[in-house]
Amino acid sequence: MLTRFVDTIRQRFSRPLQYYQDICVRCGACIDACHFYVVSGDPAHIPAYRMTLAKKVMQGRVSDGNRLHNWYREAWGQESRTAAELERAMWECTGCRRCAVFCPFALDTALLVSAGRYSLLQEGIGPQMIAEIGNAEVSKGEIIEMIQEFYVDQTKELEARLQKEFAPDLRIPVEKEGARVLYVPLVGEHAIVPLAKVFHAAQEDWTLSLFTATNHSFFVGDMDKARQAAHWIVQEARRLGVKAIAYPECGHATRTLLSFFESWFGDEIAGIERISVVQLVASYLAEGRIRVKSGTFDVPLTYHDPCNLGRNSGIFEEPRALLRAVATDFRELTPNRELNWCCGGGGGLIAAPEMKEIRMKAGRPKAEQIRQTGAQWVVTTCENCKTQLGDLNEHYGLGIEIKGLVDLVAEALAL
Amino acid sequence: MAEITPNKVLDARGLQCPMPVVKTSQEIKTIGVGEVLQVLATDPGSMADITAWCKSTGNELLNMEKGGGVFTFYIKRVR
Repeated sequence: MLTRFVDTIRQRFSRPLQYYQDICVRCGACIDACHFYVVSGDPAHIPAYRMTLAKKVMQGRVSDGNRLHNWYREAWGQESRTAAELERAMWECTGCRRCAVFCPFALDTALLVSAGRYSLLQEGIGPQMIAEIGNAEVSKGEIIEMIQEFYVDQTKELEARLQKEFAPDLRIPVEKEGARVLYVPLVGEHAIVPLAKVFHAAQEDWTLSLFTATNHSFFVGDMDKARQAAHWIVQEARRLGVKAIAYPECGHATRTLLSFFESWFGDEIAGIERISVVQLVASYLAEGRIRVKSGTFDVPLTYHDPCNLGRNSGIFEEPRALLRAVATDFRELTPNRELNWCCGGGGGLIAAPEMKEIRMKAGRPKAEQIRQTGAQWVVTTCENCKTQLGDLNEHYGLGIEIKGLVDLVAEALAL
Repeated sequence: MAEITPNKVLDARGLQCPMPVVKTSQEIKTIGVGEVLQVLATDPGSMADITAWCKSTGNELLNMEKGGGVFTFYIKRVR
């Protein structure tokens, strides 16, 4: 037991991780920063303890090559207790990095969790569903020709509908060679419609990707597969000769684009700008490429910084600039920006049905934050956050509505 | 194509990504190998998602249809 975990995590243990483990003095600054620990009181949720636990297991203090030692440990249930503790330490974490902001050394526990999750999956420990969805995303490139014609037909239907409802000359180009921007959506027309409207208003030369941005292999720390899934999009961008790849309101996908594409793809991605639609739409407004009817929304609303867009990618001011342009009663959550509480649904947990209960518990600080603002709408820019906030709304009876930022901008457009 | 008689029906209409795939994965485990699961979905993206999921898991997508805004998949459990 735990042999495959130990073998794998030793291979995955990079120099930075070794330094983090050595540097951590267990000062405890991270304890109250973790939304899981704050609500559970479970030591396995303390970021510093996650480091210590991994160290203990890697040093062979729980399992080693000696059969007699291992028999003795198993007889006392030490291994199974440690395995259960590791499972909670690695999977009951959203990788939000709030702990790293409070850590005096900025130690990156999420990097350990990424390696730990991948290593635990080799033991069959953890939600297999997230890995399964990740595998399907890797396979997407192999089946895309099968569904391409159908997808284009669907897009034409959507385009015709928007031409009637919004603007007769609106276009949703697919596979347009030489377009400036390749927009990679999420599954579902809700991720296409508002962007199609904004691109039309901004007179952007764009094309819709055949793929979607989500990358569940990233959640389980399987970086080879995460790279493979993203590679289909890079190949598409190069084939079409676009100048920029724009990712939708999706936290983890945005993080792969902004923080990993360069190291994953090197020269292959050189010269192709990578941008979140939140940044792109904010730039349209700042440059006067789109105009909005100011004060379109007078309902009290707040903005939830998704960890992967905010804390992990530094996109703080663009969403606020957009909200202030369209809303009259924007209220900040306290705390916000890099100190914002995670919603409790990140790290792929949304896709694992067995994690629902812990998600609801871990979302309690977020629910309390929202309640304190008195906001009726919570606006955010990540699909996982939206789903989690919807679940929290139901669970805690918050009486709010969850809104996408670009949806609001599209609704407020002055054509 | 001859009409396919499913052993079980999964109504995933109205669900958004990645829930049609999550539910399909859960439901396929409740039928026997060789039996067929019919999945109904409304999200156009489910076409690529479910087709790719079948490929990566080794289950067989027997047929897919579209009608009245609903996408219907027939998936045979292979293993």
